[in-house]
Amino acid sequence: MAASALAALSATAAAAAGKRLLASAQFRSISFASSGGRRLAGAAAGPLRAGVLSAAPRRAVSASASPAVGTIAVGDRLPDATLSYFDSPDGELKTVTVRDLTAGKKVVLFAVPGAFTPTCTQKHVPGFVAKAGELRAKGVDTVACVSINDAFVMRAWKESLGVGDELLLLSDGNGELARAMGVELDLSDKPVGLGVRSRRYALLAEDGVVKVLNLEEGGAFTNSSAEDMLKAL
Amino acid sequence: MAPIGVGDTLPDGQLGWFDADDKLQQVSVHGLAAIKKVVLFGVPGAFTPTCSNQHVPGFINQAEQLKAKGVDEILLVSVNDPFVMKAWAKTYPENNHVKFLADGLGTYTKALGLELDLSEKGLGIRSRRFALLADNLKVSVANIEEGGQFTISGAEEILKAL
Repeated sequence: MAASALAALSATAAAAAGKRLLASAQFRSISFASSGGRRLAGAAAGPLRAGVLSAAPRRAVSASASPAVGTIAVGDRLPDATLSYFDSPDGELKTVTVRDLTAGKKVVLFAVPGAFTPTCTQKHVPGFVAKAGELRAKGVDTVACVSINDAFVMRAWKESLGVGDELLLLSDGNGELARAMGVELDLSDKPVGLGVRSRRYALLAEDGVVKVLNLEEGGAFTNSSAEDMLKAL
Repeated sequence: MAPIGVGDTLPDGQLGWFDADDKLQQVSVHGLAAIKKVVLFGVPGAFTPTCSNQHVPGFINQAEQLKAKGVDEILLVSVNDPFVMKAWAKTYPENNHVKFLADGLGTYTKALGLELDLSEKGLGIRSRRFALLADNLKVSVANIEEGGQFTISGAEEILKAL
């Protein structure tokens, strides 16, 4: 099965990198060892974030052995970036900035490593679809999913999942947002051909400021579900 | 790299593919194409309109005719990951012959010299649209579009050349 083949691929690379592979049998998740120690954002995020309106001082997030500067943290303002999407099956390509998406609102934003990949498709997104109503009842204005996939792929994925208006599926096509948040997951050296993706996370932002952040190592699925967000609200 | 052309040897490369048993494989182009007659066609993006509605269906519908003329393999390549290619392939339940292969990092597309920079559209580096016919790795037909337009890279043109 695809799941075990991928887990085997990840396990080999993870073992070599000396990182613990989080493979939860319970969730049958595919988790990719995070390149946490190697912050691609390290050099690039500095100048990027310096240019971003940041209300709070940048905080170091303690994680593994990385210098850990440049990773989004509670209290940070979400960096601005442009995301794209199709608002209907036949619609035109639209763009929205993170600023416009989050200004003056309570937004739950969650990220997945890849459209059409097992955990994202079978667990992560469906969980948010199921809980969208409850999240709204707790004052959340918008629930959005973001991934480093193009907008065509995100649209097709949205349709295959039967997702309607309850959830926005947004394309971070060039990885601009993931890079600016310091949450890239570099899978380029894995044979599966995913390149640079986003770590899985779920966050709550109020007027663009991060209030709750559940950031996973790689693609693990331990605390970034809709249930976990609901508990935190 | 200069774009691949008639008379060139098809370069080797690894492409991702979920096989009939849903197992993720890394397949070698030479492994698929050596000593065989193969059609290799490329598209800018899975799930994009022209690719989905015209280019791919053309090859799926003409697959039997192509095979009748001696084509052993019909290979589709795109700069998308194998999960996306598998999902895209599923939208063509009538497909029996076209293999949807993933050039996830664009490595093979670069080896062919057929990169198309679509970063402005949030697509990154993709492949120009093309269709090649190769006989034992020797390219005998190379129909390469400038970008994503669809004029000469269809199944009909390959059939005419056979």
